Amino acid sequence: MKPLELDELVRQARRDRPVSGALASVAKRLGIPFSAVPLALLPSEAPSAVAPAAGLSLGATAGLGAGALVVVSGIVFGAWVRPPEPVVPATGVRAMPAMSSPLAAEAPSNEPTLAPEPTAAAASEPRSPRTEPLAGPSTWDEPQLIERARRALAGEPRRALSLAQEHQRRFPAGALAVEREVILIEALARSGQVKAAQNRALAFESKYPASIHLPRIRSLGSRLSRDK
Amino acid sequence: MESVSPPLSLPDLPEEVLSVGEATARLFQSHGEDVWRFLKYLGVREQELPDACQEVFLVVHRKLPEFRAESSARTWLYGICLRVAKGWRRGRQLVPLGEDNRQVAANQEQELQRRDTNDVLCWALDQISESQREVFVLHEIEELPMAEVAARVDCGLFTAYSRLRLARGGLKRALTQRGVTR
Repeated sequence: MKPLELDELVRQARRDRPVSGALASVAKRLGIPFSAVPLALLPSEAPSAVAPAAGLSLGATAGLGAGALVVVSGIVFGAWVRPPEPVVPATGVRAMPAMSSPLAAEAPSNEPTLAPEPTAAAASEPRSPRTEPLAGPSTWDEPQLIERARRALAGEPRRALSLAQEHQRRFPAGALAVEREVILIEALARSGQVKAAQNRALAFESKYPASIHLPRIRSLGSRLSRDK
Repeated sequence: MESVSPPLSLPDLPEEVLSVGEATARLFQSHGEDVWRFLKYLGVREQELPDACQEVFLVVHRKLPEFRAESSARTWLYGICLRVAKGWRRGRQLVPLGEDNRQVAANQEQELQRRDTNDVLCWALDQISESQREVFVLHEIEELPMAEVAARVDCGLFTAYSRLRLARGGLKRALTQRGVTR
């Protein structure tokens, strides 16, 4: 019999995913609201689907150690949430400032090469309820698309730009919208569209003031300013 | 190390705006599956994965203020995973050959054929050295460029390639010798 090919095992391992509910249980322990379903596939009433996990935030704060910040129920990974409901934090625990929805702000207007970000009104339009399966092959398309764009950044910035734009079209309110923005900015800069990159970087800073990507964006902005 | 001080045109942000909890939650949402898979192929047992995964994100929560974006968030996470997985591997009870539930005798072809192929790879990975395993999983399964792999495991590029070559050889030998067939 033919030996099982190592490369085939590797290919299958790349597609390996936790069993259903496994990550959700970890998120619950950490007090992190979590949805295993990509945002683009959820109907507009999606926030209620993550409410039970979010409700655990206060109780689980101790698990994150002293000084941990409370993850308020409205903060659900960027794009797919409505403006968060105010939550009264427990005594002695500071609630995090709610992150503004990426959809709440308009994209910079002078970006001829990029499709505009969807407006808040457009995003709030109800999607057709559950016409797509919640868990199917397309479930993994979003991270794969972002990963391909990220890999293309170094050598093929125009391709990275194209892939990020494709992500914007297919997953305007995707879970990885922030990562997409970072890739878009870098791809614009690397492909010579400096002004567009700067505008997008400024918009990014105002939209995602708490982003972990901000130092990278700022560093890029500094370089672009110097190179002008 | 490159300075990341903001340009004058960008407003300074007050320190308290940075919300570590939210950033951790975002990382969990976007990379939780990556962390899970990475830990699994680094040798954390299936039943220990929830605890190991939790440990990774607790470290993330604690270390996030130190994150300087010199690497992608995913690569940074993998660095944390490497250290966490090392602890889990070393803390785990080593069992004699043949008693480990991943050890498969050569005459168990029929049983092997029923096993999930992912478990077969995990078993084969158990047969090679830790340093080779880390390089192999980072490059082949997680598809990090070799330069990043070398930086993550703190070795030279040449050494990383050498470990990768040895890992592939060791894995192929293990699969063949153990009679992994289809």
